[in-house]
Amino acid sequence: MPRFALKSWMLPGAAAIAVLLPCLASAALGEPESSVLTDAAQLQGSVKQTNQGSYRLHEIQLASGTLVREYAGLDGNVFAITWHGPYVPNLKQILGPYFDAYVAAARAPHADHHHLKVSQGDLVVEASGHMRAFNGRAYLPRAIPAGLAVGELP
Amino acid sequence: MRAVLKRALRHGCGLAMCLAAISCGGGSSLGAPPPPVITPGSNVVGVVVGAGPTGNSVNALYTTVTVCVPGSATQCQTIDNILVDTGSYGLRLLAPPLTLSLGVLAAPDGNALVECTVFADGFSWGPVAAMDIQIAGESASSVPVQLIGDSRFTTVPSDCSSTGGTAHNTVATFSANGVLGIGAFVTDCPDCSVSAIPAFYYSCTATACVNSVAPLTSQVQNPVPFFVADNNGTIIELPAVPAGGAAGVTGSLIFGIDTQSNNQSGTPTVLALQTSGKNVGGVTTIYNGQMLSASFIDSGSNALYFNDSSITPCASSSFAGFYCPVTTGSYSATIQGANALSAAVTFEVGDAETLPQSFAAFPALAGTSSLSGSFDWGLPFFYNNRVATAIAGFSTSAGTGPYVAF
Repeated sequence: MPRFALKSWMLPGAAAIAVLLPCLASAALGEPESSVLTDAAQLQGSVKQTNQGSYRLHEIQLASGTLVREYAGLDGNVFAITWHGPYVPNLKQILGPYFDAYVAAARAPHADHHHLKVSQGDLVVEASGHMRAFNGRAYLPRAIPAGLAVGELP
Repeated sequence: MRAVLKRALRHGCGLAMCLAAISCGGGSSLGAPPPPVITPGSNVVGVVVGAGPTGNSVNALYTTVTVCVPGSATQCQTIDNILVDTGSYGLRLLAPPLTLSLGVLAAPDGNALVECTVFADGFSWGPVAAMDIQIAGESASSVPVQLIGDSRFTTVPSDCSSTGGTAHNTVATFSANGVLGIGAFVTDCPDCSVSAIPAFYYSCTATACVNSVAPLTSQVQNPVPFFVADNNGTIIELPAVPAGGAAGVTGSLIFGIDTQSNNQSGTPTVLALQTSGKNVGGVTTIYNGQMLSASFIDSGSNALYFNDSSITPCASSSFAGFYCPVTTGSYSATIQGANALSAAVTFEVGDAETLPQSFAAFPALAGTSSLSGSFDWGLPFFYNNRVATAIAGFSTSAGTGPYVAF
């Protein structure tokens, strides 16, 4: 649902919020890819892993119909996560230590209820969609393997 | 109903007089509102694109609804600044401004039925109550409505807030007094009638909530199918808006399709909406030779959202995610329905940073999509257009819903 924006975005609120990363290792983004299994267990989903060359793709199919994908670099750490399906997944679980920074930044005025883009240094979260069909992605720009663009991630 | 229409007209006239006084001349002044599109009829409510209750909305479509305690002709309240959203299902009102005393519907276990409504940017929390709804000359009895921010249920369960974003439980954070979800489906969570979906419906006592199933009849529902007449869908009509934007826009929300002389289908292209998979309610867009199968048409999105690396993104972090080309460009795409029928569409993309502070309508506003395979046809698509949304299972002379036709 649509909403306000332009004038409020001129306040550099989102950019000014510092990213604080508590040393928690409960979940996946920025964590070793072994945390994918923790996510899958917490979300009660099934996991499929495939090798994509410069990264490994872990797909967690949730019983609700939503597909969560976690992308791990050859260094073994997850650098991006996407979701797509009828329900927004538990982002606190899959964003782990980045969740609080995401929520804080999301408080800044933004476009409408159907879109959100949070970009602050080492974290980008984009979400969109409408009732029954949501999608989003969260990634760490500095951790993306060389030569790979976020838009190319399946 | 008629009062609502008059109110919308007065709003439009007020803007026109104001701008005429400033420009002191003939011809069209910059930002002058386009002529209102007001279709006469008791099945029509005025809609406006305006700054909204927080004064900063852009491309947000608002209307006015009247709600009553079920069965009462006196315990009623008329509330304006309600978002018109074809991307959700059901009426949701912020409390306050809603002040009616309403009982909460029961969950199957007898406790209160409370909902976590998840949006892409956050969530709204509140119980479900039945209300009689009046919009224009249409009325519906005992429709389940969500009371967002109700003072009786203030503790948001952790799995609701764990979906991320921010809590939209006040007018200030919701940027509206409510939302009228009139998309092409009836209930907001069919799956919830058979299993307790996380972060959706809850059974709550005064102190604790647990995930709960919610029978379809108790779920928050699109009010249109509940109308006594004109209940098979809606038509949104908005005027053309100058490429540079306008202070405001006045149009019509017409109830029913092919039920009155003012809501005839004509010969539009009927695009069937997807009913299963990951893009329920959606369509496919063909743009730049790519099939974008996760596309959708949504009056609740305030811009066109799609990816095109040839269009300059905004440099300012305040406009992150939007396009800022030096000159406004014209583009074309094809929207294809699940029935394989398709329609050609043209649109413009302008510099998001050039929109004057006082303008609430900007047809050339566009931004990037968080999903490579998606094109979100937001409110700019509805300008200079007449968009019909037929509800799933309901027939019109042009076909059976769910479909969008224009």
